[in-house]
Amino acid sequence: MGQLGRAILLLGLCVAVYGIGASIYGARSGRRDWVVSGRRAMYSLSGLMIVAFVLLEIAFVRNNFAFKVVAQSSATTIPTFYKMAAPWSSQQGSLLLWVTLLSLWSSIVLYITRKRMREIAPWATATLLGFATFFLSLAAFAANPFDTFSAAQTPAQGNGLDPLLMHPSMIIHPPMLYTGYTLMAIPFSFALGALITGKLGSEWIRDTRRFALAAWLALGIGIILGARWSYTELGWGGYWGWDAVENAALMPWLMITAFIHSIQIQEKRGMLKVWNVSLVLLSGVLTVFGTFLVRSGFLDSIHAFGASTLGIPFLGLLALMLVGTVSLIIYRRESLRSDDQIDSLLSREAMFLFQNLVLVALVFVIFWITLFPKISQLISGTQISVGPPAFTPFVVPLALLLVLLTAIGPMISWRRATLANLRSNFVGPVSFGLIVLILVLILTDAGRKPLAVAMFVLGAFVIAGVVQELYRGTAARRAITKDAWPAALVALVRRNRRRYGGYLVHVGVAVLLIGIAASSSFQHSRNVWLRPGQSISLDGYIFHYVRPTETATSERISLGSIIDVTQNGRHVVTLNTYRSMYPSTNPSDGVIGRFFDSSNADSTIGLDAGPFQDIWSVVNSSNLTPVAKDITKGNALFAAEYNQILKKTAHDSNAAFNRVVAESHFYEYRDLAVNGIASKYVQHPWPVQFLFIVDPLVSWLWFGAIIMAFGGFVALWPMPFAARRRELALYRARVARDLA
Amino acid sequence: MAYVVLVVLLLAVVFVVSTPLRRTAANPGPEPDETRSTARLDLEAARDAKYREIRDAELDHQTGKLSDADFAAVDAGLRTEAIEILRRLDHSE
Repeated sequence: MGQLGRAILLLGLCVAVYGIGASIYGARSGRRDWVVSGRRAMYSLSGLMIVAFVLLEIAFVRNNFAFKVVAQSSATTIPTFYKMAAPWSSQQGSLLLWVTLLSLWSSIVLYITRKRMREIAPWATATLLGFATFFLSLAAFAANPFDTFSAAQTPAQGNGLDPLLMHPSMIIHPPMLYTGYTLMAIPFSFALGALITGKLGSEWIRDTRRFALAAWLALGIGIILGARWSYTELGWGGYWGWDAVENAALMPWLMITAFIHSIQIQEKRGMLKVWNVSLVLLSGVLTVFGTFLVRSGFLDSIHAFGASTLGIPFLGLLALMLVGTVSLIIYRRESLRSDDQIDSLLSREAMFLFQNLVLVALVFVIFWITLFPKISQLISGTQISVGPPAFTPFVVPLALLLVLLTAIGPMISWRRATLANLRSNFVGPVSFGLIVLILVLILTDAGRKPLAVAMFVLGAFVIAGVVQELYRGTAARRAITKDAWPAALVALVRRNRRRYGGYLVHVGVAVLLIGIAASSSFQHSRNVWLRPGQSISLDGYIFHYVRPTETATSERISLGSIIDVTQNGRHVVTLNTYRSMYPSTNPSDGVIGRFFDSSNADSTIGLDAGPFQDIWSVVNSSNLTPVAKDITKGNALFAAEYNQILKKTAHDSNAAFNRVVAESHFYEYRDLAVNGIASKYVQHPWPVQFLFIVDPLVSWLWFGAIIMAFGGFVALWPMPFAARRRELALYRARVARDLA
Repeated sequence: MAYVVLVVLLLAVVFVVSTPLRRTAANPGPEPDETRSTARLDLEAARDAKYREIRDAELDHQTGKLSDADFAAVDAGLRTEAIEILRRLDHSE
């Protein structure tokens, strides 16, 4: 199976290289048959990559440790669904997933556009196949997922999956990020095709806009799943640490956000052509930059499992992309001139432009601070590490400005707005924002954090604005159709999915940012050592350590705690938190010690999530000093015993059988010893370290993200063909009357 | 077995990729839908975008973002632009 996989990768590489040649030759010679052949090379590549990926999945599910990647990242003890997700925990599997998704999405877009964009599509095909060639070359020659051990070297058991990756989010999070990255390659490639051919009209935007939106949605879902994983798995109580790899996904997402707003200006007014092409090309560069950060280990990151030495090829690709795109933009600068001008600063296009500038400024700030450690190292020779405090002073004001523009944008018309219109549109939402401000200042002590309060007020302004828009739109529709309110609302959204899907996203952004502002500004936390029976107080709650818990299985040893939370004598919730240690495969840890490998561990938090606040707890029970002597003694005893077994059975006539019998007894006693040592945690409990957090409105973050995703789907979902034709026919008839 | 699968995949790829070239060799000549030029497709995209713009202006008017006078001016302008696109489309036929 390994040989077949390697052969498929090489065949895929040949197909991709052929496709590039066929597409370019077809484009230059005007031979459609070669263009179609190049497009079909992409279809073939996606078929081959799906077969290759299925082969890899089969190897993981069947515990085929002859595959090096399976032995490195899986084990027989891992549940099947984590085994199926294990391929993308490895470098090799990730690269294969990248090419598979890229070829799949590319095939879909090339099929949809097969009768359109005749001149642009071949160059886009060649670019997409160029990306595929790059990643396939890495997969085939630098990190081959189908490398195998010889029969004699094949291990009986794998190293297992990093415990931190055994989390439901991790099944979806990486594929969603890769889906976003690979989908972003599509508008990038078509923009490049438009620049090469000089066909810089509206067509390439119309046909690839949906893919940019899909990339935005997939990347957004991936980012939020990563945040959820961080909150529930990493045991530090946060959801965003401004880690280099987190930022690597956020930057292209912000850039695409800018792009999907500004292309509307080009579609409607023929303006900002240079800006749009630059945004889409930069988004493409940033997605490759993100993959470079994840895969290269260039910067220190909690995503160390992705570190490798693939940095140089990625840097080469980034340099090629940057030089190529900048040169093309300069070459086509005449064709990229705007057809029109912004009529007024009080117009939606002006707001979009301001919003774009803020988003690009955010990307610049994040990029600069993320790379600052490396930049400082280059300049001074010393690497200065930066953390969240370095980001906050820049990101918070820009985020506030962004939310303000998010509120204003939907309430202002295209082309120009008059003061009278502004008054009628702004009075309601601004009043609601002010009411929220007064209530927050009167009912809470939030006034000590003015920036957080500003975010609450602006968030309320956004939500009220969208509610007003929905109300007025529905009322206008009802006036025509006489439908009931719910039916009129649904019909309004269905007929204007892009607009109202976008508004829903705005509501999601507001809710999410309110959650972030509240949870980061008003969080209470305590890090304490407690014995059973001891308590601490935090933000009006009493956290009482009731008793320790212990579970020992062949897969893991979990040492935890039951925490009782009360408020004013009233029981609020009982939390169960534990830290699980997974057996190491390092023989030097000893027969017993390998079960107490505190570095190969993960935390399960005790969480009571509510609409207004989360009560969060984690125990760090990995201090094993009280049983260290027992572990050392056990290691020595069992090592000696195992040597005895080897000696005794070495000269037996029935050596193999006797050794199996002796080993089964040995492992039985070993398990008893391990259980005995682990049970001391309960029988003679020692103090353990806890982190307790009371955090307001964290749930708003997840809820806001769900609203955003829903809004994204609404905007993305195509209007049925018949409805679209009816819609166009209506306006066609109206314009035709004028024409007559 | 692996070799058989590989040979099947190889043959399938060669078949899929070479079909358009074999077809052209058998029936030389332009494809039937080749006649729709890029310029025309671009104009069609511009026309659809203009219709959407007219609809958006209408919705802006209905939701109070454009006064009657402003809407009349914007709508008339947009329809003039749409007519210009339609005329150019007619000429491109």
